[in-house]
Amino acid sequence: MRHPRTDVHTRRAASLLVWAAVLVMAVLPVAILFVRAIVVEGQVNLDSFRSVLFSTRQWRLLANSVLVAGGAACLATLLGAPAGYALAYARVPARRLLTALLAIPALLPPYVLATAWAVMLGANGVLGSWLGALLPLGQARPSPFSVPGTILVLAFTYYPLVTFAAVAALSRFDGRLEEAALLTGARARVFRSVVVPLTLPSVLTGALSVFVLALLNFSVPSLLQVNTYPVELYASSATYDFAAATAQSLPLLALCLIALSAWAVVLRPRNAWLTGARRERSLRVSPRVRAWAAAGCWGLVLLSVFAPLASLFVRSLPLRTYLSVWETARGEFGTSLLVGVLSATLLAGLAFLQSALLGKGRQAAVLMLVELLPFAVTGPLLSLGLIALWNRDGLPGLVYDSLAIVVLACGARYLFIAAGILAAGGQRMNPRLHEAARVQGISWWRAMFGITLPLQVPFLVACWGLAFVLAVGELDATVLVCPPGKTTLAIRLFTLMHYGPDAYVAALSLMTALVILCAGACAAWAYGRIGNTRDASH
Amino acid sequence: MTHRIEIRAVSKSYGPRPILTKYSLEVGEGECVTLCGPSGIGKTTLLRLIAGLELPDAGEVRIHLDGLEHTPPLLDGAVGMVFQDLALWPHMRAARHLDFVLRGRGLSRAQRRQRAASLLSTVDLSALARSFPHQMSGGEQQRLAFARAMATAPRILLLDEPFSNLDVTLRGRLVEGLRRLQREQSLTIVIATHDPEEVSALTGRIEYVANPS
Amino acid sequence: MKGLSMFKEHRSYMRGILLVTACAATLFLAHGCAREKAPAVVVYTALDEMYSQPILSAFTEQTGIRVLPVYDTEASKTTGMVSRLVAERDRPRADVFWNNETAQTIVLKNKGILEAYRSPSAESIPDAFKDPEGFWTGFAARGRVIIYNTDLVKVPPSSIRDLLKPEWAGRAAIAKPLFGTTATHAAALFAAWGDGEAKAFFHGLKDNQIAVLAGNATVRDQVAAGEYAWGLTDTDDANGAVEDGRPAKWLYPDQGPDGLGTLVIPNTVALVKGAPHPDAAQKLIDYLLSPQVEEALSKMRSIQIPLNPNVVASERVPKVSDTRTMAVTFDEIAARMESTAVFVKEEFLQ
Repeated sequence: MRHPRTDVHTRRAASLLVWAAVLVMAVLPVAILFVRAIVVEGQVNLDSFRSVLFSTRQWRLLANSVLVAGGAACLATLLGAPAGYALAYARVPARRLLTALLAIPALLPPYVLATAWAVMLGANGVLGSWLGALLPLGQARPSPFSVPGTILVLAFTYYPLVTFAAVAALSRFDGRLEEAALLTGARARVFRSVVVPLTLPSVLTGALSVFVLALLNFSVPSLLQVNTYPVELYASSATYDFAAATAQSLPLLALCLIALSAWAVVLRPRNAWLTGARRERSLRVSPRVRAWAAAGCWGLVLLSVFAPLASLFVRSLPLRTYLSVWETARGEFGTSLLVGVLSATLLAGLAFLQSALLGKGRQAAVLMLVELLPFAVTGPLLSLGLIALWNRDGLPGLVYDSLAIVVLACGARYLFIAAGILAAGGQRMNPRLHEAARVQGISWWRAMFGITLPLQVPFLVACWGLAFVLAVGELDATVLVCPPGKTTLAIRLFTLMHYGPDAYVAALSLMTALVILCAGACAAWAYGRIGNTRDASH
Repeated sequence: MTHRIEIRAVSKSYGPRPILTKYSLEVGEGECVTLCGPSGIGKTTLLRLIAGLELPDAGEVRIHLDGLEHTPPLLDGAVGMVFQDLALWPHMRAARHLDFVLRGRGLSRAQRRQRAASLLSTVDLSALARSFPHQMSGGEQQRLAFARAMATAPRILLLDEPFSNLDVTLRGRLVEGLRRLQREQSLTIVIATHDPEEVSALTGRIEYVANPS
Repeated sequence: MKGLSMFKEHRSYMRGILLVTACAATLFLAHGCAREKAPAVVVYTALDEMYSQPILSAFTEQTGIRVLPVYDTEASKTTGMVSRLVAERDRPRADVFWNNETAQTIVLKNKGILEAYRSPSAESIPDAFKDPEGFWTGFAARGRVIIYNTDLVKVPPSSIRDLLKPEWAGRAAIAKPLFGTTATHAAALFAAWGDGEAKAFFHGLKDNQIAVLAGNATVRDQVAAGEYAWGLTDTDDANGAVEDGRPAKWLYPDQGPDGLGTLVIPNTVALVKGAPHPDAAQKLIDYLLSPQVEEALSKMRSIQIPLNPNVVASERVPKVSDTRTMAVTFDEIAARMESTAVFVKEEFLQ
């Protein structure tokens, strides 16, 4: 019989490998920048930090960034939270279809939506001409190329996060709490004083994640020419001072840390209020309210999905534009699919190993925090770190000169999302199932492949699908490291977007959106088909 | 004495909350010990310490097998356990549960199949060999969990609240089966339950686990 | 029964994912092995892809050397690409840097990223458009021009100082002088006038409520649409409006005998120090500086102005020899880029 301790060693080795992979992929690129910024000619030198952080310009940038991110979070909550309650509480008709449609903006790359909104708000656009007629003569039409425009685009991109946070909260909301309240008081008050307060922490968690994503977004403010930290980091002033650029990431890191602590201290404990199991609740909403809720949801779908995509489609006509897009951008489609598939598998695999090996302990928490780092320093700075780390002779050079560097960039950037999904999957898994195998003398590895892995397939599929979607849309970190002669769809699109949204750009945007939505739909379909086993595995 | 469990002054706490304080217990071969006490008192923790799923903060757990002394985790099939929630694998059919456990123990495929079939027939589940757990009733699931725990021919069997989901008839049959095992294979059994009435039919010692104070 | 097939399906999804990944990995490896067959040259270019791509394809056709381009992607132009060149300095990947202006090229020269190379094709190009030490060579230029709406303006302005005239208060526009040619233009004014006069000019613009728009193309569009009567933009943008038949015309400002002259900003091409393919790089530079490229660029919608006097351009393209250009060198302009940017950010754009 095998010695029971042997798998302890292989497991420890595997954990170390996971740590090493995460460190090389996510931490080293950031660390190398900070070391180079701090250690100048062998001496610790904080001058660049001092000069950058204490300039008045910083405060203006910070104000701009916080304004954009805060505005986007507020607007996204105003849009997304009512939609979430409408879907899950008012239980509007065609819920599944609506849920799928409302997810679309978050899956599309933000810069595609930014282009669509620029078209819509332009003089000949749907909203633009309507607003132009509405406003008094001589008053300038609201331009998307402004802070309010950026807030608008980011809010309409990220509101699904708030919607789904609300839906998830309501699905865990114990209906009995509501029934207990109904016995004591008026029906209208119950929603306001029981349902909303209990689900609010989750909704705010959604809003907070919108804040962080909007804060760190580079492509939208860059395209709309609004100066925020990520844009400034990319330009890193005309002097190409990488130490200064690194120093500039500190305020962003601080803001992310504040957001994270706010969540950990204020919101997370309150999320535990929701303990209910998923079950169908009796209907408590009057038909009139439900009709209004449905109208609101469809209105939001119209404004956030159909109108932008339709505007792009109208702009992309005539149809032969698509032919020329296909002829000229075929290579880019191939490159992006390749990068998407490889990144998704890398991310899902690493995230699964991490969740299986490190579980929920303190190590796992530290690792998750560490994985947030490359995302929080923004894509452009991360790519500078990747260059510093990988552009050297030997094996790293082989990586840097090939598409592998693009895969690594996607991996570094989205590791925390992938790890988050599989950590959630791990938490939903009953730990006894693994232990039951261990007690019987089954090795840890066999138990992992025979029990944990099959039961985590829904989460693996969801993780893979989301990682694919993110990698195909990824721009912020790949724009500086894509090897010469290779272009991803995202980079090509972003290049062309700066010449204005012409038919070709509109067509390419739509085709990119199509690729992403197909992948998203496949993943959602697969997840939906096997989703019900989560209850079985409980 | 060929096998024996020895628990010496074991303490265990989760966070600031102490579960067990200097608890000692000895269980000899073929003995059946029932751990009693209200829920949350540390019965499950004791079973998990014996199984080696947890390690004690202080004190020792020793398992003597055939003259050799072991410190958990053993995790080689010499200790079998039936979990309170059964912990059946939702993605495996009944027969596959047993096959999965038997694999890697030097048995040929045919031997494994034969052994799985005989185990299933002892617990009267032959007809359900190709069923998934969620297609079985509570009693059938319980018996499958037993079959799985017995698949590796353990010397020590740990049962966590084994009767909680069973009606009186099923309970009687289970007790009957346990008695036979205890007699025929001199199996050592440790049962955790909040209601000692349930196991009164099993002859054996009753240990009260007290609140650490 | 659903339950029976459920977990079989799980495995098939996993297999599907693994299969797709295996295919992708094979493709990736095949791709990697297929590379490095034909000789290649890597060029980082800031000139819009729609103009530079046909030129580079023609080079490949002529020489059989594959060109691996990296195009710039940023609205504020070249900063990303220059960042990348600086970041890669320890192990350069680029052979040739083809910029659509001068300032960032000079930054790179001063940072020691470039290598001197005097191309034989550059002999006929006037010295004013070449680096004295041979680190870069200019070709195919754009001029800073006044574009005006023919419906709104009967007597067109003739000087950029007309921006300060009360009659144009709130009716003229410039692009944000932080990016691209407008930033270079601002630095050129600081170099030509000195700090005091230049700052007074910019404060004057502010007092006269001159609109500051996102970019030169926006200035062109808004003037052509009649939102503003006139504005400053580049020849390539201005020509777009004329070609599209919009009610707009353009002219060079300050062309009088003692006028300031206008700014003419060439494309620049430079060899990267430590270029991995130096021979191919020199061939590409020679090609880019050849008369046929200047001619091709002058025929495009962007009507880049040939600098080589031997190039015969069409009549819609102004000759650089007939134009009064600003009497400042590109090095003088480059030296003032940073301080000008600071002034513009801190004082002008408030």
